[in-house]
Amino acid sequence: MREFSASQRAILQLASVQGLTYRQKAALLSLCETSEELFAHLYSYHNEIAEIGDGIFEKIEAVRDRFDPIRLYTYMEKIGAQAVFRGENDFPASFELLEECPEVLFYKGDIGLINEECFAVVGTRAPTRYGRDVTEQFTREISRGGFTIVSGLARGVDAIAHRIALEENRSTIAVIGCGLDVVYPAENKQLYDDIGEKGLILTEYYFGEAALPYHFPERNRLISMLSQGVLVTEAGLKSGTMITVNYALDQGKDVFLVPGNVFSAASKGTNEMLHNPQCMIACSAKDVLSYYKKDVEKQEEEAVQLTASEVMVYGALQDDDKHFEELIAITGLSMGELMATLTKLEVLGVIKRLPGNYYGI
Amino acid sequence: MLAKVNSFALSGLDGYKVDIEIDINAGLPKVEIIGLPDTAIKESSERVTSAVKNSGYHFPIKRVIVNLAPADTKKEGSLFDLPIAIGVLAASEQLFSRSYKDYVILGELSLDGKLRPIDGLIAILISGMQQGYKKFIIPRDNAAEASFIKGIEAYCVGTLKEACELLEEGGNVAPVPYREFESSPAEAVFDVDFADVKGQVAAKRALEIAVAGGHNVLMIGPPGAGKSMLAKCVVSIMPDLTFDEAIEVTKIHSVAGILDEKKGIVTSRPFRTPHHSTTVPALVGGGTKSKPGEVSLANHGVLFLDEVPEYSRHALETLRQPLEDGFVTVSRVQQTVRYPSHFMLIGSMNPCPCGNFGSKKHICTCTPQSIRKYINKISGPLLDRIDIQIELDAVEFNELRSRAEEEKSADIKARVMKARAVQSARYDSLPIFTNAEMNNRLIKEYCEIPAEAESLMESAFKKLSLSARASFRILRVARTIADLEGKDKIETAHVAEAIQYRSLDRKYWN
Repeated sequence: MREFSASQRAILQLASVQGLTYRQKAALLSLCETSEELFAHLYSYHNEIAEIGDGIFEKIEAVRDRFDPIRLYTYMEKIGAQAVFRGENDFPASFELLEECPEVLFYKGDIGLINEECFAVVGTRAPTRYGRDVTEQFTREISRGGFTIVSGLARGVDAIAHRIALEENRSTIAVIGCGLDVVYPAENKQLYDDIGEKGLILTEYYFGEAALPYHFPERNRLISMLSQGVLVTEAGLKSGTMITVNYALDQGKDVFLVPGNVFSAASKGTNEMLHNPQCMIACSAKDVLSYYKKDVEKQEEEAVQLTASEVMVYGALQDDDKHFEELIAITGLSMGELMATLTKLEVLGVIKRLPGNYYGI
Repeated sequence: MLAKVNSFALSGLDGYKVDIEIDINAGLPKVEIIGLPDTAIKESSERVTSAVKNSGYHFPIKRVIVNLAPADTKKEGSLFDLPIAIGVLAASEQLFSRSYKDYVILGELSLDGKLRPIDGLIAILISGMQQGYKKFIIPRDNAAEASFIKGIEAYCVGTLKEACELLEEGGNVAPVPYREFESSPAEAVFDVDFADVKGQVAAKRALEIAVAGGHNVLMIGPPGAGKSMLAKCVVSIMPDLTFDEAIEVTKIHSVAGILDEKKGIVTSRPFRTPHHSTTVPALVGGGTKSKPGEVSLANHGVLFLDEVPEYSRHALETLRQPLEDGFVTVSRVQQTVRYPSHFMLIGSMNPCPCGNFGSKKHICTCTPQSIRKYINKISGPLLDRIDIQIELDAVEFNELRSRAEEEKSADIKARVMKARAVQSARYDSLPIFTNAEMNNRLIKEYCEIPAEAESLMESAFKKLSLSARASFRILRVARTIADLEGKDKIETAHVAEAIQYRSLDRKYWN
C-alpha cells in the first residue's frame, strides 16, 4: 500500500466527513487553498463554515481528532479498495471538467477501464418486461460493439445492464452512491462482487457512508460524465434517470432514448423526453452503434433443426408473447405435445418461458 | 348392592373397555365418581340424578360410588351418563333384569331422560367388535353411524326409560339393520365440475396428472385466476372412496365431532380448507384432548391451503411429517395418539405480495426482495414434497375457447381411474399405491428414461437453472404422465412435459 502525502491525508480526512453534499464539500475547499490548511486553521474558519451549513463545523471538528490514516490503510487493504486523487494519472480526466470535481475517488477493480470507451445504460428501478428485454438486448449489443457499460448498480435496469456486460465478458463500471463497503441494494451483492473482480466499482463517498437519497443525483453526474453517451431504456415520469439525462445534456453528452408504449406508465418519462430535440431515438442498438461509427457484431446463430410442431409453435410466438391456451388454440396440438414441444424449444434457447404461463421469443 | 356395567372410552381413534362399577352405601346422599374422570364426567352425576328422577324412577338417597375402571387412565366425554344411570337403577334394584351385563352401553343423558348423540361412536363400535363385544345400546341419533358395521347388534334407544324397557323385556326391539356402503359422487356433494371452469386447460391437465399420481400441487397465480375453484373441483376427479377408506375417514370425523349424524358415514372424499390463521394444533391435531387436526380430517381427501405464504411458518413446517409419513403422532402429557393423514395437498399462492408479478395487464409494485421473501415463506423441505407447481393467469379467451367443449369431471375421472389401476398393479407387492409415494430406490427401478430424455433433462438443468433436487420429482411426474397415456415406458415427451411443472424452480423468481 502506498503512503499518502500530507495533503492527500487531509483530502481523505475531509472526505471522511459524512453527510455533506458535493456542493458543500466544494464550498469548504474554496475557503482555503488546500484541505490541509483547512484542518490546520479550522477554528479561524468557524464563521465561514457555519455559513455553509448547520452542524458542519462540529462534524469536521470531530473528524479532525478521530481520523487515523494507519487504520484507513489497513482497512482499505483488507477490503481491497484503493483511492485515486484529483490530478493523478488514473483520475478520470473528464471529471476535471465538472464544476464540483471530487478531490478523491475510491474504487475496487481495474481503474484502467475509465480510459476505455464508456457508454452509460440507465433506467427505472422497476422495469417492466419490456424494459427488461430492451435493456438486455441493447446492452448486449452495445457492449459487443466495444463499449464499456457504465451504470449505477441500482435495482432494475442498472443491475441488468451490469449483468449482461459481465455475461458477455465485457468490461463494466459501476458508479455507486455509497461507500465501497456498503452494498446497496443488498440483493446485488453477487453482482457487486463480480464487478469488483472483473470490472470497476467507483465512488466519491467515503467508507461506511450510507446510500442517502441525495447521493444518487450526485452519483448520476459522474455516470454521465464518464460516458460518451447515455441510453435510457425505460423510465417513468418521476424517475431519477431524468436527472442523469439532464446532467448528460448539460455536459454535452449524447442521450439516446428507447421509446415505449404510450399507455405504459413505466415509459412515460422516456416518451416525454423525446420531445427534447437534443435527445436521440434508439429503436435498436444499431442506432447507437452506427452513431459512433461502430459495427454491429453479428451474433453467430447456431442452426437448429426443428420438428414440424416446433416450427409451428415458434411461428405462433413470432409476433407477440402468447399464453399457453392461445398456443393450444393456434397450433391445435394436444396439451401433452405442446408442453413437450415448449420444453424442447426452451432448452434449445429458442423461446423463453415467462411468468404467468406465457411464452415468448 | 353392586352393579357392573360395560362401556367404552376413546383414546385417539381406538376405543378401550371401561368397567363402570356402582355401589350404594349408607351415608350422606352424594354421588362420588372416581377413576380419573374429567369435568364432563364429574358433572354427569347431576345429569344422571335428574334424568333418573324425570324418567319415573327414584334416585337413591344414599351414598353412591361410581368407579371407572381401569382407574389409572384419564377418561373424558359425556358418554358414561347412560351406563351410570343404568348401573344406579340396577344397584338400587329398580331394574330387575341382569341382562345389562350382555351389552356395552353408551350415551349422554339430558335432564329429562332423553339421550343425546355422542362423538366417536363408530370408532368405539369397531374397537368393541374387535374385542369380542356384539351387543351395544346406543343413542338413537347415532343409529346411522352404527348401521354400516357388519357383525354387531346395535340397539338404539331414545330415552333412559326406553333403555330400561329394552333391558327388562329384551327381544322386542330390533337392532339397527345393516346397510351396504355406497360412495356418493363428489359432484353431488360439492356441486362443482371441471366443465364449469372455462379455459385454464393447462391447470386442469396438471391437476389431472396430480390426482392420477397422487402428487401434491402448488398453484401460483394472481387473484381471480380461479385457483380456489380449480382446487374444489379436484375431489370430483378423485377415485370413489372405498369402504375401508370411508370407515377410516368416518372414524376421524366422528371423533372430531363433525360427522353428519343423519348420514352416519362419510361418503365422499373430504375437502378441507383451514384458514391461514390456523394454529398448529388445529392443523395437525392436539389440544388438551388430542383431537385430530385438519391434516387428519382431510385423510383420503384434499387439504387445500389458500394463500400458502400467509400461513405461519411454524404451521407450514409441521406439515412435513404428515406429508412424508401419512400419519401424525400427537403427543401430550396425558396420552399419545396417532391419526392417519393420507391427503393430497393443494396449495395456492400469488406470484408476489401484490399479485401482479408477470401479469400482462397490471404492473407489479413489489421489490425483488419482497418477492423473494414471499416465495421463501415456503421452505425447501416443504417444497420438496410438492411435485407439481403450476402457474395460472386470469385470461379471457372467450372467442378462442368458446367453441371448445369443456371436459366433464366424469371423463377426467375415468382416465384417472385407469392410471390408478396401472399403478396399483405395478405396486402390488409394495406398501405404496401411487407414483408420488415412490422413494428414490423405486424411482430408479420404475422410471427408466431413454437416453434422449436423459440429455434433455441435463440441458434443462443447465439452461432453465432447475434445482438439482427437482430431478426425482420430474421423474415421478413423468411416470404418471406415461401411466395416463397407458405407456409402459417413459418417453422423452413425458419428461419434457414434467419439466414444465417446475415453475418455482425458474430463474425469473429471483
